[in-house]
Amino acid sequence: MSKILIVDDEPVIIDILTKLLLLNNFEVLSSVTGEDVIDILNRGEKIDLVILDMKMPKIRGTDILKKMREFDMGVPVLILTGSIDKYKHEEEFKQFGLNLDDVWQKPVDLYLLLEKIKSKLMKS
Amino acid sequence: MRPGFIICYSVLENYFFVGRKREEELVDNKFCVLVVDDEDDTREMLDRGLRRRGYQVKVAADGKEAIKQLKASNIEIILLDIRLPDCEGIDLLENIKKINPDTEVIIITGYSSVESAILSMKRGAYDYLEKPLKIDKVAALIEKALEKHKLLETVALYEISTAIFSTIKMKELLQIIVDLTMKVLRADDTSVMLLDEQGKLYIAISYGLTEDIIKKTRIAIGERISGWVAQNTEPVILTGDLKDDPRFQELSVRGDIKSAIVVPLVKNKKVLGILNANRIKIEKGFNKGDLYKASIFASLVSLALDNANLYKELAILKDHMLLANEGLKKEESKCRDMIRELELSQKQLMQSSKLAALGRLVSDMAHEVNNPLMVISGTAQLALMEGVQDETMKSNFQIIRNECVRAKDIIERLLQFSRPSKGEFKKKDINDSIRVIVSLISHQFEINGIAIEEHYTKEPLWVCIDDKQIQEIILNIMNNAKDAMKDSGIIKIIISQEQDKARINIEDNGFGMPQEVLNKIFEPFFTTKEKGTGIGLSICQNIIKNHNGELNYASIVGKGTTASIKLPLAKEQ
Repeated sequence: MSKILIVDDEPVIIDILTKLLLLNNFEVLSSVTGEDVIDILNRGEKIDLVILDMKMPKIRGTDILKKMREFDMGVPVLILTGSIDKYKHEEEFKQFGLNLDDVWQKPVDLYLLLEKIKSKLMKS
Repeated sequence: MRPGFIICYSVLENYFFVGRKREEELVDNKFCVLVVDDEDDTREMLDRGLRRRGYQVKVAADGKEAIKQLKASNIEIILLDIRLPDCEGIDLLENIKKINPDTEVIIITGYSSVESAILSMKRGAYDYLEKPLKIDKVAALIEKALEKHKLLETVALYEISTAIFSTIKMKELLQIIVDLTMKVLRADDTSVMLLDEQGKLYIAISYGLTEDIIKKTRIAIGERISGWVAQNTEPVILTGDLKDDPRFQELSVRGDIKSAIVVPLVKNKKVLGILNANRIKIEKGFNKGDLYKASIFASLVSLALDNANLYKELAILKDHMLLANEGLKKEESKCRDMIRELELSQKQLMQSSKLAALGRLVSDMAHEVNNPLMVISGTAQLALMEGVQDETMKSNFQIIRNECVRAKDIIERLLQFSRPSKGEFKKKDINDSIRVIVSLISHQFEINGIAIEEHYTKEPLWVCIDDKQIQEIILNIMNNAKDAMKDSGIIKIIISQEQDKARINIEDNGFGMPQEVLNKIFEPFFTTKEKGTGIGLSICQNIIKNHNGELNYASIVGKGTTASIKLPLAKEQ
């Protein structure tokens, strides 16, 4: 069973995604602040995918991505953000090993998201 | 060979005599009368009687002597016997008028014949007297003839001044001056010399001189006769040999001239030039009367030349003013262009800053709105996933989900508008780009009863474009065209080359737009559609501008609308 970490400052969104993932037999971990993501990843727990919000009040998504690269965690990431000009940040995403189709803008179709999550997990 | 002598006069009555012969009578102010009669008694009576009345008198017994006297002296009146031993008086009258038309001739006849009197009058005689002559009667007729002579001179002077002042254009004036000089002074070679910028005399106009001489002649003040006259501002009559004149000994003189008048043209003590009048073919030399005429004539000419110069200066000044005015107009036009550019830049800046502000606002708003949208749409989808049984509920959740997607699209478009992507520009045949998008939508359009006519260019039209952006614009314009037609219609896509640009015309035969709508279509958030955002065409225009192209619309209500895109052709590499 794959374990997915959801990072979003909106608890309601965490709720919805958790329900979706649980409904589809995933294990779910979540973080509302984003500050504990590195700790979670460092404590030896196996995380198969991180769903990451970019714009959060305490820590930005890019900071988390930097830390993950720093610690060479190799965990696949799916960006789920409220607003971003993904073309403008394309190069930046590439540096973190992300393609533009790994960057999703809310609101997303849950079916499509599910398909994407599955495909990412298959690849990893 | 002609008898060589020289007589020079100044207008101020300071005269010079140089040469072999002194011609006393020419310097006297008395009028000169020539009596031509073969009868000694008549000659003597007239000589005595007229001298007593203050005239200079010369006498001749025949025609030959009369001509000789006429050529040698300045004779105002001739009393001519109609019968002479060597010729007929009538024939002599003709010769006299040829030599000097100004000389008045009174015919003396012993035969009171009306016929001979009429004939003589026709040949130019002033009047006739019958013998026996009475001196008082003769003197009275002479006085009358002299009055006529003076009157004619006054009339001639008036005519001259009228002619001279008829123009202020230098070229025309010079022509009038030489024409009049020839006529008034009976010269057969004449010229007007003016001062050039270096202060040398040049021939401004002439009769009788070759082009080559005219071009080459430059005479410094003091050089030759002309220069002497200009330097001394003193008119001269030249007749005969000048070798004996101490003033001209160092100066070269034209050998072909038999007699000449050289008059300075002076205005306000400033020398403007000189007037030359020469007699080359005419045997009779210039006399005091000619000099008098020439001096008056020259003063009129000076005045007219001065006027012409002033006119010329004014014309130059006017040209300068016009030029300056033209320059000012150009500067003004440049300023206007600059102001227009500044206004445009300002508008663009305002638009840019508006867009930047809008961009920030939309970006923040998108983040704030997209999260709740995610919640709403996610909740609805989850409910559907969890298996809602009630069909109405299912339908409601689906509506919620769809509206969230619509809201997301609106936000996406707003984001695109406020942050237009720079795009990825690649060289592409515009025909291919359009073919692709038309193939994608033609079926859907056909279902809606709309036919698409495609007109491509035979040769590829290479443009440097972001293919996706251009296709999005075409799609947007075509959707607008579709919305402008109720149930059916035709959309024509015409691609053509226009100089260094590719032109894409999209024509529909829909409702068309009134001018007031047409004026606003590129304004952000302006729409006539119920569910439109009003930013589609603004985005299109921004994208086309990023491609250095133009997007224009033309429309006629009831006939349809044409969208016209111009894109610069790719430079060949």
